[in-house]
Amino acid sequence: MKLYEYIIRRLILLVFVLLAVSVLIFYLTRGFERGFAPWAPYINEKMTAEQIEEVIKAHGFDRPLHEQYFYWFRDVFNGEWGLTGTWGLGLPANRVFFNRFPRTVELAVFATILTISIGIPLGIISAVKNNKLPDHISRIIALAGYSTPSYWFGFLLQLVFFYYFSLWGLPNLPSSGAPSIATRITGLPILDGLLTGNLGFVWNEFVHLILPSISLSFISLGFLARIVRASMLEVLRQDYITMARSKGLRERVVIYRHALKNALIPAVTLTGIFFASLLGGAMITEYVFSWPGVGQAALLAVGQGDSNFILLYSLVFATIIVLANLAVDVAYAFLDPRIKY
Amino acid sequence: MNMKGIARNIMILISAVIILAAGLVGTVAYFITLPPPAGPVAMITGVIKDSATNVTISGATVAADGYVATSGPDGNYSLAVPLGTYTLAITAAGYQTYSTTVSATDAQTYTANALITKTPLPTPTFVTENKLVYEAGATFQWLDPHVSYYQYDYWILWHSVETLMWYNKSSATDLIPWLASSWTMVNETTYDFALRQGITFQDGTPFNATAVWFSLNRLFVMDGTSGTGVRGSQAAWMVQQLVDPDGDYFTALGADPSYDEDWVKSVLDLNFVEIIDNYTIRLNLATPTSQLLVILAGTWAGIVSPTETITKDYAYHAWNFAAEQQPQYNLTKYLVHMAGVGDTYFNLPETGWKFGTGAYYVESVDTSTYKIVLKAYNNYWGGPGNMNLPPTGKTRIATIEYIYTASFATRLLNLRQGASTAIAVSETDIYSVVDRDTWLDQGILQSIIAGVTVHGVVPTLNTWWIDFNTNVTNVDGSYKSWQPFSDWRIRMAVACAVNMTHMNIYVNNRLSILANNIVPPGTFPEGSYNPSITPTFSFNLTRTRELLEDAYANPLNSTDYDMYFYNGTEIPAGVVDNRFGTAYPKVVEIYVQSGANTFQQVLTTLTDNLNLITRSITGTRSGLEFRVVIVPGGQQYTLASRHQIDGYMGGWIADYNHVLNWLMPMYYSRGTYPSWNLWNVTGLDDLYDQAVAADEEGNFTRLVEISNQMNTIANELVMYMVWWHDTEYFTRSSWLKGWYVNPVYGVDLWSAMYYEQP
Repeated sequence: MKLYEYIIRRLILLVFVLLAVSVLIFYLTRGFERGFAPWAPYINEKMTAEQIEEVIKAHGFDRPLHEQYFYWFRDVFNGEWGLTGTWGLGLPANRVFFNRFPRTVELAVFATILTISIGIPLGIISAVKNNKLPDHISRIIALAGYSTPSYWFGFLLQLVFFYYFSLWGLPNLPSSGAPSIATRITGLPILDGLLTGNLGFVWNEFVHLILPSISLSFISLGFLARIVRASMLEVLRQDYITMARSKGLRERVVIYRHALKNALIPAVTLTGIFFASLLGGAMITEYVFSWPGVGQAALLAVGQGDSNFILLYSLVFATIIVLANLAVDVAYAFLDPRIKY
Repeated sequence: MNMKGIARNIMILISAVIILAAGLVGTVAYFITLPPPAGPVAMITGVIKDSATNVTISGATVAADGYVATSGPDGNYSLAVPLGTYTLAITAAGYQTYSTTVSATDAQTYTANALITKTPLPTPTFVTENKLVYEAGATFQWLDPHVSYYQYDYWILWHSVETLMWYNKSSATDLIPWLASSWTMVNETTYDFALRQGITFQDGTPFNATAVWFSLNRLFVMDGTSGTGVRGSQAAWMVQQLVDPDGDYFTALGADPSYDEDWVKSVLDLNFVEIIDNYTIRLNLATPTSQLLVILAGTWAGIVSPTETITKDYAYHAWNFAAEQQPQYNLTKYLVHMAGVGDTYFNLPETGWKFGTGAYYVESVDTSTYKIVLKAYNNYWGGPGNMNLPPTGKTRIATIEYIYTASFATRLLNLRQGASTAIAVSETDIYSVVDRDTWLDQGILQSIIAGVTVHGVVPTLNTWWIDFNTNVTNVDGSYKSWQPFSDWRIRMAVACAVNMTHMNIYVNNRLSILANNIVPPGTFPEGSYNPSITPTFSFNLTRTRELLEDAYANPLNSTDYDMYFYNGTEIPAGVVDNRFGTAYPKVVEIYVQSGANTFQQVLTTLTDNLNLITRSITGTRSGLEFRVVIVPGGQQYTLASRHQIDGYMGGWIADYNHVLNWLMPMYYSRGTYPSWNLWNVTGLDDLYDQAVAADEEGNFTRLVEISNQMNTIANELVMYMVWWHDTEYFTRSSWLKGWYVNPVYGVDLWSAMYYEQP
């Protein structure tokens, strides 16, 4: 099978995956009247019994579940994903999602850049200096990274870089929030800031991104470093590395040109999945830093049982995960010529 | 020795050095605080106080050449020293070091009192920028005053949109003319209001009778439609009830309007606002009521600029402005468009608005970060006697930012650092900002954060209770045979099963006023709040046991007793069967909202107590079990409105400050809300009708008397297990001066505040 055939087949499968996900999430969010009433986000304590029934009827929650699903499906095809609850100010779910999604993309990109730029070198150093001090330090960082709760580490960053830095009279980073977007062109705030020449905004957005990005990347860079280390150690024991060394190549060339490319395959998988999961929004990190991304929104929506938003969120997230897996598989083909589909 | 051996030895060496260093530091510390000398000694004693407030300071350190003492809770210290002359250095956290010399040359007691001065706080950025930053974990909903029905929105609106009547600063009952200069009662259903002259809206439009006509009719034709299009669900009904007591026109009052041009014209024909001249209006009511003035003082009755409103709404809805509104504004055409429409530009004014007369206009609203920026309106008239401005010579705060910061830890950090002026602190986090003992023992909210003041507590117009449903139905609408709370004994048993005084102190952090009946402090008219009408229950587990034993031995049923449905018809024999026990296992579910942590804790204690008793009575775990069920608020309201749950944690926040707004929803079976718990007490209905009549006559003495009677009956019946009335407290930078709050608003008003070094 050719690569493009493989991609097409996977994309067709994606449709079925999304259908299955939508049925599952639909049932889970709307199927339990007494356990988790789907209309709860639209009701307030001052509504009368009649008004409550009107809300239920207006949203179609009084119909049988399978009918509700098909009505929902029809509306989605018309681009109507339903309204959000009070947390989303009653705006259409898709508007809320896509207003916030660029912010999550930004955060994911920055966190991934940090993860790669720290995690991979850390892994290489660990492997090359196996069981020596750099390896121990790298191991401690990795262990600390994936064993530290993200909300706690986020708060620690705020405490040091925002609170204590300002107490010590040092330049400090903002603790939370994000600046308001002045102009929307592409939707990506930093890119739009650059396009409109609003460098003040770009800088402001950037400094607000630093702490949440570090917080997010700290969790994953440990994993990445350990994976890179393990695969580097394995590759470094291969015959062709011994061959390269025996040819008299410099150690730097052996490691970076011959070993690294092959050692990176599992790292690519991990980074791809990590990036995709970040695109789904880092709920806790966005909560701690009040970052207005989809993760924060999902948390608010779940808190109110807002099925419209949760459905949209889950489907987009499922799409991203499937596409990311596909991208990783395709990347293998380029990284390792032996892999064929 | 190999490399590993060297490394190990280095590690051992480093450890030894650390241990030695720690020992050295400890030894030095021990000898610096010298023990009392063996020879002749002098005593130096004194009291340490704050130089500004004269309050004693505990925990201050007094040092004299190595001799050290610490001031006790009363600010006193005592220091024994060898004879000699000493320089005392007194230090305390947040205070400047204080020095004084004492010549202690004889073996006697010397007094050295000290008044120490606080270290001046660095000026926070919000002061230099003359900006107020408020951070909360809650968000706004819709900001159009004619749509909003939510406390947080009102806070923004109070600063921006004004009303004909308002409250005199902090008084909940003293209503004063605000945008009106005076009012007169022409007859019992007709009131004339003279309007103030020379006031302009933030967009420059003059305030006049036309603006009042436009605003109140806009409220009418939008008919309480929410931002998501649910009709009749918002605040408009309060004003609508003044002109439509029979419910012929408006959804919330029972009508099913067509929202077409004819309907709009019929609403305008109600002639609620009649323009007498440019600065005089007449309000024509359908029935007399003393509620008029308090209803007019609510944000829903906000007066807005027709120019700004029409322009922005036409643009927002892409209606043909040029064709319809030129060359002259046609207010009626706009109102026809708005009939039954709650989706307005002003709900989420992303690029701001200038349609109020208030102290601030909205500059921007960010719907993804939830940030709202208000800017001072320079031509603000100031309110009567400039009441709504800072004192002469003080500068009004120029910018107010409302920010959403979900995490309390982050908010607290921002407050400490000076990034925010004010933050929201929930009752479960209160001891992060105030000293626990001072609050619980002395009732004083003493801030534990330098530069921060915690104001309060201020009672608010709300009450919480357990609502007992007397007509519980199944999901299919059929009547349940198990009706635990139709039995007075079980209601009373539940109400006696928890110590609410204890709970309020140790679970609720003493942040509420225990309720004796439904009506909270500050309710209009004076005397409506009557704490002497006390509940018939009190914490008594013996009584709970006796009542439940009786209910177990002689269960209520509709065969042996006369029982009635909500509609008044008799329940047939065999329908209600309240037997419980091993052979008839039963469950009583009490619902509570998710997130209401304090309520959940109290209810858990309550049900634990009950279950211990029922287990010993029935001899089995499942004979009768009380359960707490936690669900999202909206779900609880729905199930309650369908009468599907036995009991729930209920609460009421006054829509407007009038006792009728309590008596109707709580006790009147023909009103809007009691259908939730299906109480139908003929005596209470009759009394309510009498209360309305007394109100129409303006006979407040009689009104209060009836209110008292109704509360007494409800307490005897144990209609509710009333818990408490909330109070509010406000965590603010100490730089913020001129602070005030009104219990009716439930929030503090920043337009009269200014910054000054604390």
